[in-house]
Amino acid sequence: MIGKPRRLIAWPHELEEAGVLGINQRNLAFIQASNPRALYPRVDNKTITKEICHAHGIPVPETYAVIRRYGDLRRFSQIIGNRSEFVIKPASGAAGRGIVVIASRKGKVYVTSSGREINESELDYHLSTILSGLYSLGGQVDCAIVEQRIIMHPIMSRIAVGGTPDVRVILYKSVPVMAMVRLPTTLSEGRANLHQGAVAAAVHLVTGRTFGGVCQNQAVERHPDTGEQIGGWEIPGWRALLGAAMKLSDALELGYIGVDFVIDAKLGAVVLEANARPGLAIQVAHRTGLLPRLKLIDSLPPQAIKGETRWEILPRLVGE
Amino acid sequence: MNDRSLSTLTIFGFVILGTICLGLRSRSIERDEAAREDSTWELTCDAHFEALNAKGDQEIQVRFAVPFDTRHCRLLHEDSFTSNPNLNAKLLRPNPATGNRMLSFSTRQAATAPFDAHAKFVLRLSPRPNSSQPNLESLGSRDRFLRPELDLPTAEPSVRQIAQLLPADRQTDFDRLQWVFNYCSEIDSGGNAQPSDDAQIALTTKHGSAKAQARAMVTLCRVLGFPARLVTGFIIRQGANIQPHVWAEVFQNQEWVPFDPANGYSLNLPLNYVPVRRDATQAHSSQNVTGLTMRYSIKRLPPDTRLAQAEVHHPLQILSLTRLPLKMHNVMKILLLLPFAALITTIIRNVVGVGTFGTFSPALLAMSFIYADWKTGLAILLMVIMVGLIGRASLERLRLLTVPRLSIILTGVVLCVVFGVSTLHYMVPAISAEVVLLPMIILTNLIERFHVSADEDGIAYTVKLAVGTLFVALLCYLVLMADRVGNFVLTYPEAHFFTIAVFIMLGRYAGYRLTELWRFRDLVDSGEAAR
Repeated sequence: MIGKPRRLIAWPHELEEAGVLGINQRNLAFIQASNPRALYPRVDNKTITKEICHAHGIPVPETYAVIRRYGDLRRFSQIIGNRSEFVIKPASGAAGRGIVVIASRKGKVYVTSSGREINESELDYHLSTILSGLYSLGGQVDCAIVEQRIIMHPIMSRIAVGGTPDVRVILYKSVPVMAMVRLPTTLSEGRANLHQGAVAAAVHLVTGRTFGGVCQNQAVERHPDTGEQIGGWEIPGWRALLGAAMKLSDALELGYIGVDFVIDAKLGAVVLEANARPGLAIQVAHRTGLLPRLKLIDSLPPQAIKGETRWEILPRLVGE
Repeated sequence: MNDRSLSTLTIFGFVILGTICLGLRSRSIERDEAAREDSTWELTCDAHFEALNAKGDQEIQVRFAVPFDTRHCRLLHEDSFTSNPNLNAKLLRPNPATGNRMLSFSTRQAATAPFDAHAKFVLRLSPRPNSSQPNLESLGSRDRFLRPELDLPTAEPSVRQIAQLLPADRQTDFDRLQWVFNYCSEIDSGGNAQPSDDAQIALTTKHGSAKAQARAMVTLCRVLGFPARLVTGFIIRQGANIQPHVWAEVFQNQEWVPFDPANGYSLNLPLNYVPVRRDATQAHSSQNVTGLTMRYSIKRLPPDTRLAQAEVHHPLQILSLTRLPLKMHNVMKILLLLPFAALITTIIRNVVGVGTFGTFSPALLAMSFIYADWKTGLAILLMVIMVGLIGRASLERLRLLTVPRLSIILTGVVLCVVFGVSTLHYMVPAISAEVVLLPMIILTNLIERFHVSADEDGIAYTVKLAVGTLFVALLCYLVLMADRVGNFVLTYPEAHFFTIAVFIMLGRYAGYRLTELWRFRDLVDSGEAAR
């Protein structure tokens, strides 16, 4: 690509040849076809996702409390006790909305991971906006989860700017088909949300090594803030992460999902959330389309995509 | 059956259903229209005559001219009867030169008693032109319509002198014809003396009958080189004793253009002018008869029974939205146009791939602008945005819950709008207050969405959504403003069966969105690089 001017658009037949999955096809042929609506609460409500993870022994950040009523707000300081590190997130929030990470505290003043100081009443207000449903899908009344703060794995901290990178694995029929690691940038204000300008690097399914990259729908090789090469390093505990993703996918019974992990320094990969409508930018990070992989899985007999035999499919998916 | 073929089947179902409904209803609406606008008339011709020679060695004959079918008149049927069984009625073949059709009553039998012959013609007049009637007609021989005739003294020096009066500055043919028409219109039949039918007298004295005016016009036209002819017909109206009327036709631009100087019509005649005979000044002709008296009468026949049915209540009338009071039409039209606005939204979102706040808020925004006129709408938009931004920024510090906060902004907007309307009313008294209702509520909601999105997704993404919303709203506004389309769906609401079919098609569209062609362009580049 270097030395060659970027083209303005690709023609539909070119995208087809590249096996690119478009939003319409994703919605029609994959999400609608294999994700029953009745099961959506399992992923849209993080308290339910966490319960499922607990039931199947999949590691998740420890829940300190779930605040469901405004009345519970008064007991908040009791719930927190003398913890100085925790995360508040809406149970039904989408795209990292409404998440506050408290990294330390000075008495009644809490300090977020980005260094902003907030006092108790501000925290109260934030919790009540979560309960009122400001961050939830469709604005429904929500509840707030107070949970363990993840300590970033040292390998990750090298390329993360102002926030925690997460690893997304896309699974089709419970087989991992593509994975990427999303790195916050200054532009994304510390959030690992590609809409807002976070960077993503592709992750090789078999080796767990990163390559490629995308930022703002544009193929990139380096982190825009640090200039650090985003490819060429290995996600720690990759096999365990993939194993957890498959286990969760089995438990959720959804055909097409994205599972988001963060890598904790002590716990390893823990599940943050699952998503029934995962985005498509992962294809740009990989420089290849999803369709050939999805079609390969569709062509396999049902027994081949169950249990431990799934590991054998992965090299075929990445074309090895 | 899988979902794909089921969808295809449903699409076909809706298209067929729409076609059937549209076909049936358009025919029924056409017939209703015909019942309202068309009129049926009965032209009766009565002849009373005796044979010239009672011995019966010559054929005696009386002919009635049969009305022509024209673009606005249709002969539905004719009927003839006689007092004498020996009198044979026969419809003659059209005359090849003039196209005239005659109904002939003839006999060779000797008879001393007078004969009576009657004919009835039922005509339908319609304001909607019948397109199957050719507009263009052939002239045949040009000289035939330029030569002098017994009643058309084109060779007379006094007539030629009058033709010389044509001013030289009349450049075009129609200018010249207009002058001739004006000249012949000035001929009047007033005064005590019985007006003459003679063209020459009419032209020189400016005094003559209607027939003389027509003859004068044809004569002058022929002198000036315009092929022209006389036409006899009836001006259809109810009456017991109607006289045939004579007017002129000039061949111009490949068609016969009518002029009636007696009544002051040119180029177009009123619907109720029905020609019966060309190149003649009478609606009948006769041979070997004497003491012929003709009597014409015209009767308006009762209107179509559909018109009477329209007065009785019938549940099927529910299907006709046009029968609703005019006041409701606008609201109904906007409602019926909303699916089209939704169609645009769907196409922009799913095929083009531009994001908007909410699915139907652009359409609602556009609708609110329809209710207010666009200036009021824009004023309200600016006011709501201002109050919303200021209000929300200042309320941010109070830390309120979402719904109460939104309600405070709404209250602020309400107060501003109410006093804004009051101010407007102070300056311009004629302003209605309902128009501000809808845009306000929709906009207030959009402001909140904008803020949440700006907080959560970043300002760039939010502005992109806002621009998308405004763009789609503008398109929807243009659709909702389309009065022609609105009138069409109001008349044929079943057109929305097709809309549903299109929606199903869009709902099955699994192709790329236009924006994805841009979004995934890097994938193709690297693919090529890899090769």
